[in-house]
Amino acid sequence: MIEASQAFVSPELTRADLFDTAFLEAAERLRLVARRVAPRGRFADQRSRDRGAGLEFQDYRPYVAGDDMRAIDWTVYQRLGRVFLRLFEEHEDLPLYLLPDVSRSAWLERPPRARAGLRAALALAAVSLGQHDSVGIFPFAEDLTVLQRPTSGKGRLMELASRMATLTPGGATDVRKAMQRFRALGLREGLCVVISDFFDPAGLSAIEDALRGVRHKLLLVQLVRASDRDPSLARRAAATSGRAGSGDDLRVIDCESRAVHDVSLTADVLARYRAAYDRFNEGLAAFARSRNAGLLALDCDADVAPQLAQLFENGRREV
Amino acid sequence: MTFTTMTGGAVALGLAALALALYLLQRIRVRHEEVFVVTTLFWREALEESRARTLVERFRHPLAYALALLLGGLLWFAAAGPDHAREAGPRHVLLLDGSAGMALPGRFAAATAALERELEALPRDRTEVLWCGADVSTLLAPGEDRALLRARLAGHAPEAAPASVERALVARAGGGAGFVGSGYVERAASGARRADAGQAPRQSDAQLRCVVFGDAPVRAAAYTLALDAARGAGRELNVARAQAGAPAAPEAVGSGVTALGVSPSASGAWTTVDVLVAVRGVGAAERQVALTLADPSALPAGAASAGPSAAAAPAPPPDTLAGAVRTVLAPDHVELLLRDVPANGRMLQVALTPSDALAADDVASVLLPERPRIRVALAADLAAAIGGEALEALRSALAADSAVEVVPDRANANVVFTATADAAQPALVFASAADQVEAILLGHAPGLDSRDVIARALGELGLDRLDAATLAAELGRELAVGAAPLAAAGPARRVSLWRELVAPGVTGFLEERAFPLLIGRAVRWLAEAPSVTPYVAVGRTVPHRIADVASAVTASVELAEVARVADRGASLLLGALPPLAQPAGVLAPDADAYAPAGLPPVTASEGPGGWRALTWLLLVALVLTCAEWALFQRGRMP
Repeated sequence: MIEASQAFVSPELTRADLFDTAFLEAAERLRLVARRVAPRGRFADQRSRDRGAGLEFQDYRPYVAGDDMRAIDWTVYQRLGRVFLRLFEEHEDLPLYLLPDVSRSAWLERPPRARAGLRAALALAAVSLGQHDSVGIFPFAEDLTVLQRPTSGKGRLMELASRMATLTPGGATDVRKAMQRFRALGLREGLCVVISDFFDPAGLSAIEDALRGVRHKLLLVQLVRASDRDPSLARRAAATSGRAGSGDDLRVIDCESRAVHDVSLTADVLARYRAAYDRFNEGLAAFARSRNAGLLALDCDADVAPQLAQLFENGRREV
Repeated sequence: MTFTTMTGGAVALGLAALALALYLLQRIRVRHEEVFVVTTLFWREALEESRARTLVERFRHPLAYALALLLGGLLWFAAAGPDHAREAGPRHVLLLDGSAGMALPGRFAAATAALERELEALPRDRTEVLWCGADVSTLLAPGEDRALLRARLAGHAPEAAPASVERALVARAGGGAGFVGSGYVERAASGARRADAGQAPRQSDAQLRCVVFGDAPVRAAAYTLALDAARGAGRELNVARAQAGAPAAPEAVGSGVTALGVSPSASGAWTTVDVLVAVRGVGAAERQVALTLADPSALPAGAASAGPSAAAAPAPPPDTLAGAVRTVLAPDHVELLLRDVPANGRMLQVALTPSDALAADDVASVLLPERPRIRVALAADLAAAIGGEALEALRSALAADSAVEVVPDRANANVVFTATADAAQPALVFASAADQVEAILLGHAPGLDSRDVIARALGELGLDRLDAATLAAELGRELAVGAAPLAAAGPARRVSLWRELVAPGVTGFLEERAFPLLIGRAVRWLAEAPSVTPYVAVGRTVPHRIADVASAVTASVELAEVARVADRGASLLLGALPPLAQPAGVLAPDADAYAPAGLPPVTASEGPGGWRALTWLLLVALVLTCAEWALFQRGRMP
């Protein structure tokens, strides 16, 4: 909760704010592993659904005109009298699409949720770039923008950081529209990481609808705070620091939709609020399970690196 | 449990009003504080079940309400001044002696300190402190805080006046309100409430404990009066004394006036008096005595006079008197005798110089009596009634009396000598023996006991000097003295004699010495001339006289109209005492009545001790306030 007079004084993020040196070092030992990446990718370390001229034998298929003669298994021909081609497993890259939320709600509090979200995005980008995968950044608020088309190479990390440091607060969260725009980009199937508080004014159903249409693998990073579930914590903290009054009669204003509600912080109201919040989280988790997507609740007031490391069991996460 | 500042009903009403006001404050719609939040999704869901009201909102903080109510109730309770011990135990009256005797070095301070110690141990709602100086005033009314006493005592010091302890004691014993009209004057000290104002009826107090702080004597007569008054009010009276201290050393006191009084002039002149002044103490012989005559309005402060009130005209300058005969009886005892001072009602002041350690006894004053000559008129019918020889003898007797002035005009006379009993003025009537059974018949005001009048008149009229047996033999009949009430509209006094008593051929009364004595005494009695001259001396009973039976139905004892005399040893200081009145009966004029009553010493009171309920209430309120602040700081209190 932010007093009206202190709302939307967005801090300037610098590149140093986004770097977590410890995690970047640890990222070198972490790996995002795809079971099978989509074909027609760039040569990299991920196993691809493509069959081709890899090193690891995978299958045979009958020869057809036009096939590479070098792939014919002459031993089989000698034994069976038929011409088969040996197929090898292709290794291609896993496109990582980072969709950080830069809506107004991500910039409202101190420190802003966007800071933690962008740090997480940069950390994942470091992991991905470290294993020769491509990374694209598509921040969204009321719409989705292309901050960086998929690119690869370890040397790109600093450039990504610099680009993310230029992000400024957007408008209201509209996940549906952002996902539509993202789908329209026609990107090769990859891992789509949505980093957001998921506080879309349209509600959880709109988020589910929007994400359900995404054909990429999904990883949801939910930016949370303890005060999300218990608003009285933020209230007391503000009162103690002198940033707000001590009364419990509030007019809460949605920073994105400007919706207004008069609230008295009684025990019953708080209980209902917590129940609503819990229902929201349970719905989001259920959706993630239904999509076989990962879901990480990232506490914005804690260090990002240890929380993010939880995604990687034994240093690798399979997507 | 009772309350000192308001009634129990008012306390309950205030608590109810407080609870209602706090309840309304809890319910009233408040101005919301605007805050921005990341989302209102969940608020919307939470509020769908409890819509805000348009006028008031529901009762939101029962804990905060309970705490606020408890705090407010405690403060309100404290303001009401609760006292659980208010109705229990006796009522205490502390009498602080402010008479001149307390001016001795250290004595007043010791009495004040003892008073403060005693006050600490007594319940405030049942304790009052009275100042007993020249007048009685309330220093601390019941229920007032002890801290006020010291501030109010700041303006008080021993006064050059006799103690009023007895008056206060008698008045308080009887309830405090019954003596205002008969000489008891109570003045409230600055800021102090009247002792009886706004309090429960004191008559309901079954026990009354009076403690005298100081050396003021409580005579047995006054003590008896107080006991009677308390008994009449249905309460038990206990009187004790907290002695202010041992008598001061003579060297510390010095010398002072120890006797002052006037007496009829030794020269026999009616219009003058002789004045006696005694100075005793260390260095008495070295001190100069100045005698001045001043207007009665020039009385020193604290020595109120019971004599005639001061005239509105400006007071003439004092006249210095000379010619006093100074007799040094001893180095520490000097007497001055001033003869033939005009008895004109002026104030004779005595001043000793140079002053010593105790200045209170260096100045004394006495109000001289007024003794104008009595105007006597002889009625025209007198010559025919008693004959020329008797009339001439009568004229001679009157002319020899310096107190009498024969005037021709009957209207200007104080006393009329006549042969008929129809005079509207006090008269000496020469009646015929055929018309009057008694040889001497005294007429008095209706309502008086004729036997008392006769008994008193025997001495005052000099009837005991008559040779009644000889006169009876000469007249050949029995002589009798009688008394009868006069008509209410007529004169107050009358003396009726047989005219045969003064008939030259019948008796030899005209030749006797008792004749001019009887005439002179009769004139004085009829004119109601004052017979008492003020005199007071240390160690002697204050002169008194029983009020004339014709002057008042209620008898009273008038103490001498004297100024102040300091006692070297006992520090008794007497002044112009107002009458010590008693509601009924006559105070017997025996010496025992004026002996000091043996008051027991005060025992240490075991008062409430510790902290009062008010202190505890305020302390609990303070603790609750701290607890609320701590809860607020931890976010557990809105």
